[in-house]
Amino acid sequence: MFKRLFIHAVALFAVAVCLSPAQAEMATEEMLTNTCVACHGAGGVSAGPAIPSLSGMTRNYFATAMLSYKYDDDPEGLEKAMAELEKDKMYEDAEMFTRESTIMGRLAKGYTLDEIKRMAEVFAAGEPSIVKQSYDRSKVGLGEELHEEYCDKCHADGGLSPEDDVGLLAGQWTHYLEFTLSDYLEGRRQAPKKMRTKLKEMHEEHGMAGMQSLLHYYASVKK
Amino acid sequence: MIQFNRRNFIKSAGAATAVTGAAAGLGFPLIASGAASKVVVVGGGAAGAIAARYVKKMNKAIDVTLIEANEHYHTCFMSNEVLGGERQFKTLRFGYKGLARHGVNVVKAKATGVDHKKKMVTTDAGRKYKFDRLVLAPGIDFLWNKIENYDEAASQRMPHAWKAGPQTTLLKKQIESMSDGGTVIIAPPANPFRCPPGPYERACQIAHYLKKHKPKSKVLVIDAKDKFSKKGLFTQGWKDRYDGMIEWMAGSETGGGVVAVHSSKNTVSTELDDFPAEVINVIPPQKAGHIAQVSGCADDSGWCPVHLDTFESTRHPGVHVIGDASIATGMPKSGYAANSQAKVCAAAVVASLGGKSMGTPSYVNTCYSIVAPDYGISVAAVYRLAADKSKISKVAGGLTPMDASDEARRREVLYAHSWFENIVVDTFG
Repeated sequence: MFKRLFIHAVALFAVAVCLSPAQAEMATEEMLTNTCVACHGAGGVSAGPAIPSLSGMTRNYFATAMLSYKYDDDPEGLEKAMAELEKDKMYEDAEMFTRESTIMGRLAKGYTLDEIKRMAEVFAAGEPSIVKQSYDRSKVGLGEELHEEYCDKCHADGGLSPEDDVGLLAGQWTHYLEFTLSDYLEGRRQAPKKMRTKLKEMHEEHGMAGMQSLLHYYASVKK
Repeated sequence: MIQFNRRNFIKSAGAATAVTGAAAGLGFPLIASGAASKVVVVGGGAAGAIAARYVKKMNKAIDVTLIEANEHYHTCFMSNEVLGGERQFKTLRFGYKGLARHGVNVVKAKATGVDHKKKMVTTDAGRKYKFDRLVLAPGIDFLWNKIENYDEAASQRMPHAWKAGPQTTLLKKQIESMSDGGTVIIAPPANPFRCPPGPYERACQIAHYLKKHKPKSKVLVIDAKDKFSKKGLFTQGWKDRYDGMIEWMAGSETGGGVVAVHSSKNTVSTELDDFPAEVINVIPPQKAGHIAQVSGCADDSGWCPVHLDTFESTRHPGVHVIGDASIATGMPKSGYAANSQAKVCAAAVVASLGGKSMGTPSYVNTCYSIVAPDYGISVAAVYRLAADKSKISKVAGGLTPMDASDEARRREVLYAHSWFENIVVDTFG
C-alpha cells in the first residue's frame, strides 16, 4: 500500500515536471532536429562528402559531443555541464572527450542541455547507416587487418556498431574520418587512453599509409 | 428550461470556445469538418519546396499542392562556383519528382493572384486552387530601372545572374570570352537583398577563374554600401589569394554605387565617375516576388511583414510568407534561413489546421562562401524568437575566425559542399 502511494507520488511529480513552464516553452525534438538535417542529412544520414551522419549515434556520444563543442572555450563550464548531464540516469556513463571544430562550436552554444538531450534521443533512435562511396579495393585487405588488430575491440561489427558510445566508423564519409583521425593524431581531439595508445602504435608501425587503408576499409563495409 | 447535465454543459462550453476561436481568427480545426485540409504553396525554391514537403511529412492527411512556374529549379547557392569554373552548371538543376513521390501535388503553372475572400489561388493556366492555408515562397523580383537604364533588356547585356539559370551561363560566357587584361565590374546593391555575402564570393570565384586563364584581368566591385557580410574574412581572402586582382570601392567613395548603366558603351556611372568594363554584372535592388506583390502581402518596402513565430502575414491572415520574400527580422535572406523558416512555418500551418497553437520555434542559419577551392569561410547562427516576438534573435553563432589554419579553411570547403549535397536532398530529394 505504502509502495503504491509512493509510485503515485513519483508519477505526480513527473507530471508536474513535464508541465513546468520551462518545459512547455522548449521546442519539440522535431523542431530542434529539423534545424540539423539540412546540413547533416535527411533523417540524420549525410549525403556527404564530409559532414558526418548523426543517425545511430548513442545519446551519450551525441550529448557529450555537443557539450564539448558548446564549451570549447570554457573548461569550467564543461565540467559543470557534464556533472549536470550525469545526474540524469540515462547519461550516468557519459564520458567527455574534448574536440575542436570549424562551425559546431559556434552552433552548439545556441542550445541548452535539455535541448541537446532532446536532439540526442532522435538520433539515438535512428539506425547507423551505410553510405555509398568510392574506395580503393586494393587497400581494403590491409585496412581490415588493421581494424581487427587495433580497433575492433571497441568499434565492433567492422566499425558499424555504436555500442559503448563509440563513434560510428563504417558508414561515415571518408573525408570525415580522415579529419577525425588527423585531429586525434595532432591533438585537436581527445581520445580515451586506450585509443590513444592503439592509435600511436598503429601510426608508428604502419604510418599514414596504414591510416589510409583503414579509411578504405570503413568505406567498403556493408551491413 | 434547459437542463444542464454534465455532458451537454461540456458540449456547449466546447461550442462557445469554437465560436470565440473562429471570431478571433484563430486556427479553426478544419480536420473536424471531414474533408482533408488544403495547403497550397506557391514557389518551389529553397523555402517553398521545404514547406510543401514538411507539411506533408508532419501530417499525411493534409492535401498539399505546390504551384511552380518552372520545370526545374536552379539553386543560387553554389552558382558562383560555376563562374569560377569549378562546378558544372547542370549540378545546380533540380526537379520536382522527389516532392511528388512524397505525396505533394506539383502543378506547373504561374500563380497570378490570390482571392483572399474565397481562399483561392489563380494561375495563368486559368485554374483555381482552394486553400485553407496558403504559403507564399516566391523569392525575389528585381526593381528594374531603379538603376537608370537597367531593365530586363539591359540584363541580357549586363547579366545580374542573381537568379540562377540562363543568366548564370550568360555571365560565365562573357567572362570566358573577355580579353586578358579586361575588367569585370560587379555592382552589389544596398541592403536588404538576397544572399548578402554572394557578391563578394562571386568576386573570389571570378578572380579564381581569371587568375588561371586571364591573369592580367581585374575584378572591380563598385558597392552601394560601406559594409558587407563577412567583410573582414573576404578582405583577408582577397589579399591572401587575389592580391591586386580584386578592388572594392565602398559606397561612400562613389556617392552610393552604380546609379546608371549604358549598355551601348559598356560603362556604368556612379554619381562621380564613369567606369568602362568588358563584363558588367549588375545586381539590382530587389523586392518580394510577383505573387507577394499582387496578393497584397508586401508592404511599402516591397517585402512581406510576417508574425515571426508562424510566418503568417500580418496583412492577410491564413497566408504565410517565407524565405527571401519575407521580413524575417533578424535573419538574413539566405538559402539555409529559408529552409529553417519553411520548417517553422510548416509546423505552424499543421498546428493551426489541427486546431492547435504553434509551439516554440527554433531557427538556424549556416552559410558558407568559397574563396578558393581549398579556402572556405562561413557564418552560422542559432536563433530564438524574442520574448516580445519583435525579432528573431541570434543566441549563438559567428564567423570563421580570422587567420584560421589552412586545414580549417580546406575543411570548410568540404563542409560547404556537404551543406549543398544535404540541403538539396532535404529540399528536392
